[in-house]
Amino acid sequence: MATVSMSNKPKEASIHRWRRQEATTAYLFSLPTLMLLVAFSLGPAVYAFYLSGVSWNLLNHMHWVGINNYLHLFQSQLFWISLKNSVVFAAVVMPTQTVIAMIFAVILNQNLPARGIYRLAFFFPSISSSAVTSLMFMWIFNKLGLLNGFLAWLGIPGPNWIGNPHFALSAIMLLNIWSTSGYFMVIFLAGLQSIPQNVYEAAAIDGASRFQRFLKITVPLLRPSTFFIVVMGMIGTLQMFDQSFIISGGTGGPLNSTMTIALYIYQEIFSYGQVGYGAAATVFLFVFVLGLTILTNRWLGKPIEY
Amino acid sequence: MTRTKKTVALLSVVSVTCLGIVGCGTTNSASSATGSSAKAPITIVVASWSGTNVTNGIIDQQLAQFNKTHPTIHAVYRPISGDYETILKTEFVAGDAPDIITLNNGGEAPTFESEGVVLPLNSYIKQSNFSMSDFYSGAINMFKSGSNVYGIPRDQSPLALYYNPVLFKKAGIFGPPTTWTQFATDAQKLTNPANKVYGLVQTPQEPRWAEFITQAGGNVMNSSMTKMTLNTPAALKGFSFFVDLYRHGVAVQPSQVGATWGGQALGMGRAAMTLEGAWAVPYLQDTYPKTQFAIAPLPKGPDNNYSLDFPTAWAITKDSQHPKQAWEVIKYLTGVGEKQWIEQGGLVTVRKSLISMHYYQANPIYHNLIAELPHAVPWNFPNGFNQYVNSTLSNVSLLAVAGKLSPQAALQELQQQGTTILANQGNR
Repeated sequence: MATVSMSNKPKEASIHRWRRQEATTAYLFSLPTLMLLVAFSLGPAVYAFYLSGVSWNLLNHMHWVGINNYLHLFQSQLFWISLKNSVVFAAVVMPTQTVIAMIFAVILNQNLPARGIYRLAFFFPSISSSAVTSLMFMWIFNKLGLLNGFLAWLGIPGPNWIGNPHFALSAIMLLNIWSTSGYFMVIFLAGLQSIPQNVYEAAAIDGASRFQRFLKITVPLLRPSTFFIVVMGMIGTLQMFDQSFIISGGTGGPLNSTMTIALYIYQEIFSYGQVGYGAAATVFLFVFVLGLTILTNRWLGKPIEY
Repeated sequence: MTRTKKTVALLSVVSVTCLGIVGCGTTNSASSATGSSAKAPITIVVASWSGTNVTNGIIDQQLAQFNKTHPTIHAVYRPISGDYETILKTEFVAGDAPDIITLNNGGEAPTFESEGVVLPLNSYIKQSNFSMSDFYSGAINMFKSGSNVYGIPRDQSPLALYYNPVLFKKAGIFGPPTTWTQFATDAQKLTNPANKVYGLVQTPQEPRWAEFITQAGGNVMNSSMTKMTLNTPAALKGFSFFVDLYRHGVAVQPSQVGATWGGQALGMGRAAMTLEGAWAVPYLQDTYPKTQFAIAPLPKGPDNNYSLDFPTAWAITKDSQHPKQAWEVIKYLTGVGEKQWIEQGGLVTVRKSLISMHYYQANPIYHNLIAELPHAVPWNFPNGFNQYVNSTLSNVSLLAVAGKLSPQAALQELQQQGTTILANQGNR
């Protein structure tokens, strides 16, 4: 590069100019997207940090209160209940959906008859509206509904899934696992396609059983997909809002049993006019999710070598 | 050549972006331009929560008639679906709320009033000699703060006893209960868990138990709403009576029979009795035409036969550019319109003069709802009680009903939390 510039100065200047032009062009072309991103995504996100330090009920004048919102938040019993619910929800749903998605992906990666239909059936929940599936599950979980009818047929008296604080969150867990597993299955399917076939052949020749091949080859070599799914699943479950909102009718009830942290934020800001508390909880959730994602990255994020 | 092409392409991208941004601003200036021009009629937007097709149709029809007789004003109806008051709040922040909104009971009305996002109507009332004396005082007082009137009543409904006469007959009971004692024994007779039929199906979340406290001679708060009064013997008497119905298994929550509210449970034939307002009448007639139901006055309590009342009102927002014209619309809706409102939607009048109108004689189902009006008291809370009303009241009463808190401990908890809110008023 240096010799080129020594020998041909005008050419280097033109390359330089060309590069600058190219960069300007690139920025101009991405300008619409960048503006939208700043206006509707990054901007509001940064604004949330500012809002976490004010007292404002949406209708009055806001004033600065510093860290008081955080102090109040950490003393609020409801905040800890909502955090606990979200963590329990994530701790159950994320691993379950990951395992189910992986098993289904491996099964549907075989040459089964009519596997296209199965793939469609499993993927279908993730392309249907979450409001619609929530309503559907409200009927399934109805005290006199489909699920309890089935349980009664088996001789088990079904609980009041949605009305009983002990079962309401579990009902939403089932709904969430059902609706997200299919989407993650597709990602695992893509990951399975990229595992070289010869690794399996070599293992088969060495006498590894089907199950051994799954455990020692498929699972470790799927790590990039697993990493993506675990991170997305974790973020998605910790931010779960819509299903709780619809099933509890926006209250987080019965007895706050379906109050997730995202629903808590919504209620504080929009229902109770405590924008500062809500924003502080938002910042807390951001830091919490960021920390967990960094930890997951340490654990699963390393590249793999074939 | 290529360079010019590139420049053109870039320019177009940039200009499209700019257009997109400017676009947001243009609509505003356009609408205000039409508003200020002398010839075009002034647009007044009227908003309410989107109800059934019936109510939406009535407002549309009334506004169309208003527009015919008022050529300088063009009123349009905008139903808000979803979380009505939340959406209104965001519109107030953006400064583009509708000209006229509906204030609801038990909601954000006190917040809207104290934050000044709805206008006091006193001067308009005075200027146009609008008579308020024909309205039921409970409905007016609900939307009054000090001497300021913030809303003109639209409709209201007291609670009444809905019951299923077929189930009553089957249980060998003739006629609805008229006293608490009868109410409890009838509920017992009507309950048949094997058939999933219960004497009373009712959410303990809603202010239904407050009804019993009121009838026992107590109240949730004193009349000036400066003190919690849940620690009185009367309050305990009323609350215990309500809680015991559940604990004895003659009352259940709607979710226990697969319903979301008492009216639905009654329609499904699972509830022999439920406590609802007029809103359940069109619902039951439309959704469950095969289920027979009747309405009786509330069974009388040991102290009185009061009924809790749930009025709504029209109000003008601070964002209205033309409050004078908006007032004309409200005058029409609550005057000429009120009669049609009842005739088409079947709701309970807020005007005393309409109580003897033909519609009520032709539809005797409303008779006992109307009969509650003279002793109806509005269900109301001051500013700052949102969370208390939406969540605390229901959670604590749920614990009491489930037997995890004694009625006394539950009331004590509610008394204490309410007192804290009252003490904190002004500090926030």
